[in-house]
Amino acid sequence: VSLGHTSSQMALRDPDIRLMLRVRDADDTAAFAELVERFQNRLVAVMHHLVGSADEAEDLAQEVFLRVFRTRKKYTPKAKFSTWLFTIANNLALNALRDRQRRPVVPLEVRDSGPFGPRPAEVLAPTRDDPPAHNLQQQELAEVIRQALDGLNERQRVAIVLNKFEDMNYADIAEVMGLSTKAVKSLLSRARSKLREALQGYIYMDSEPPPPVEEDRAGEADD
Amino acid sequence: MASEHTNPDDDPTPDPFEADLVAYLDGELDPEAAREVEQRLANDSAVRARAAELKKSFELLDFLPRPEPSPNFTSRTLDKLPTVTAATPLPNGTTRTPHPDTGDAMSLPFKPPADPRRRTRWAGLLRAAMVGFAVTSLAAFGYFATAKMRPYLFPNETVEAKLEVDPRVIELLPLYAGADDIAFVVELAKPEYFGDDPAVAFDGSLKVPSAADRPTGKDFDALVTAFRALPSDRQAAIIKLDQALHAKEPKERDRLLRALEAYTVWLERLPEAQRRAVLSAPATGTAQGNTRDRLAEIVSVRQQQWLATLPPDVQRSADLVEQWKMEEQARRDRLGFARKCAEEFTANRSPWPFDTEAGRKEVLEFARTAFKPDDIRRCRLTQEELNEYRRTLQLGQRDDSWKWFGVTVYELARLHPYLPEPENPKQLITDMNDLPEAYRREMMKKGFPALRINPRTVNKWPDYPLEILDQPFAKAMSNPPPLGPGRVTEFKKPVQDFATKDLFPKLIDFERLQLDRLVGKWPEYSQKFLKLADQYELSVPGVTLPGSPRRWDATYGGRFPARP
Repeated sequence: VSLGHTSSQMALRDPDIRLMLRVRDADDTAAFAELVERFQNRLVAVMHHLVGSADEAEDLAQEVFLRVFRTRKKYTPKAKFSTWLFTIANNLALNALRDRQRRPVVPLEVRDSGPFGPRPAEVLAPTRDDPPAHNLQQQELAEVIRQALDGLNERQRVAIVLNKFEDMNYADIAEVMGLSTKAVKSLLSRARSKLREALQGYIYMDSEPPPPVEEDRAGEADD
Repeated sequence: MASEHTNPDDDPTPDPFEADLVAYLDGELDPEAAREVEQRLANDSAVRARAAELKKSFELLDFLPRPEPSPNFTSRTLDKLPTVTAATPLPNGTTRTPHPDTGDAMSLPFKPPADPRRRTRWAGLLRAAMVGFAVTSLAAFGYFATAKMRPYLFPNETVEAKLEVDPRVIELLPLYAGADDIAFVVELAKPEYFGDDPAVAFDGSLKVPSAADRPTGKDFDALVTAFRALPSDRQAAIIKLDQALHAKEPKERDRLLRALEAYTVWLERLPEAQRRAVLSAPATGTAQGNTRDRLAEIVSVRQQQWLATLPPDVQRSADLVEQWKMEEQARRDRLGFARKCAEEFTANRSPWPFDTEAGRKEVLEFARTAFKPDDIRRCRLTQEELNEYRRTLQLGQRDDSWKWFGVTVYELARLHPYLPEPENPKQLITDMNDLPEAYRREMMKKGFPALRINPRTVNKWPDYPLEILDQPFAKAMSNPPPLGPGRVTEFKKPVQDFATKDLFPKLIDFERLQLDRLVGKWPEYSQKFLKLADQYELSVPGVTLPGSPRRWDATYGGRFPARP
């Protein structure tokens, strides 16, 4: 394998790249399996945040890995492996989300009731780690946040999810999404404003000391 | 790769300052621009509030659940790989040609179960459980095949990293193989599962594993291999279980280990089909629909076993089976109770919280406030309940046998939940004269005979106002004034102090908000307040049982045999 100087240095440092090169050059399925092991948690989580359904997230993540394998010969180790992986993930997720928009389907998960509305008991199946009541709160909150994410357009959602859950900086997001960093900046700005609007009612602005019971939360400021 | 789209959104271009603010919060602004933002933040409270909202709303995303891939994700993905020579996907159902390096080993250990979603979580466990039964049987279940594959799956540097597994984990692996997590093990050690096993309950000196059972040499190596063959999340779960177990008091830890051993031995002796059913059941608490989770599956198998021990005539009669089952349950309850109290009886000690003078006093005070047994007019108990209360109290005071009083108070507190009284006695509504004008007007309009107010609730807090709210006329009122305290400042001082010092600092923003939304509403605000306190294991002074709610449940919850 011939690599440029910087690339080979990068490859030495980065075990993911080494694995991917074994996949590319030797069709090494064991190395591929290791990559799947290493990235499945992150990828499934990101996909889940993007599409909102566990089953679909897993299918999409699987498709990403399969695409990595199918296009392995085209891989060049010029950036972090994860950037390449999430570039593929970005394309697949955007396609899936747009597909879904074109033919709107029944919601994949129960999320039709408002945060404080009555809810079917089975959705609230508590885990044993949390007392049931606590679990309920978390579920309600998660539901609200899920809806706030759904209120973003696809690109905004991708940018937010990568920024938040992959802790990606603007430059990496730009690379993954094929945008300029400037574009990412405005994308994220719009997304964050929308999230702020959607979640405003769920932020407690003066948590300590305990505020007077009447509302008057700070920040009805602008808008 | 970056193209120069500036507005990839369908949305209008954002306010440039807002974009800078967000970038600033993300640490993405160059120093000069950052200084500008900081200046505006320093000078403008509206901007500060905006920044705080942007930050906090982003932080809220942390509350989204983080789903994990199903444990056989890797194998399912690998199964879909195109053959390496063809580099195109094969149609469904076609078998893959073995990889030249790994041979068939690749697909062996990862055979997907019939219904991946349902069974995957425990497919790994099913294999792992075999370790406990006989290390030699591992080969049959693909362990050695997996081991052969290991060098391919994990390049050297990661193998080194993974070698550092605590030998203790390896030694106990046969016991951990069939367990989910610490909560599962604690459950297993209850009398209705394996806690009744004599070795678990009584032989406190029995250490697990005994020196003779410690795996050595080849056995140990095989276990190491088996452990490494597990998916990484399962490995992590086992290590977590091991740590949680060893964080327990030594006595409790040994008891749990003995229960695990009893369970493992039981599993090992099960017919293959039943063992599979137990091991492939979804983790306890995660079952959906009609599926049984693992604990439920264990109960079911044990019931079948119990049934099989009955004489054939009895087995044929459903009524007899039911009767014997109840007798068996009663026997267990008695045993369980005896065991619960055994230590206290032998030590001639009072049960918690009656084991200290202060504890006794607190419970009595609570009972006097919440049930008012000494005030004929306002007493909230029925005559029968009151009799039992007095009788068991006497048992405690006379014979220093507080267990029954504990049970009684616990049950009464559940039957007659109390709500915080208002600080202002005028707000304490216990009869018609206390009711706000609006209610009285409505009641007059209706005429009293039509009212059907339960007379037993009169003079009683909070029973009377709750009864009023339950009346159709009250439900029909628009904007009815609250019938009790609707905010913390209206509670009595000890409850106010409890709120500010103990409860509120623990609440997350969302919970505070939920509570605040109920301000002015009675009884909703009070009920939510109590619920939150209970969630955080706190007792509300003068309102709920003193001491940890869970400890009350643990000590006095569950079934008790007939009282003396």
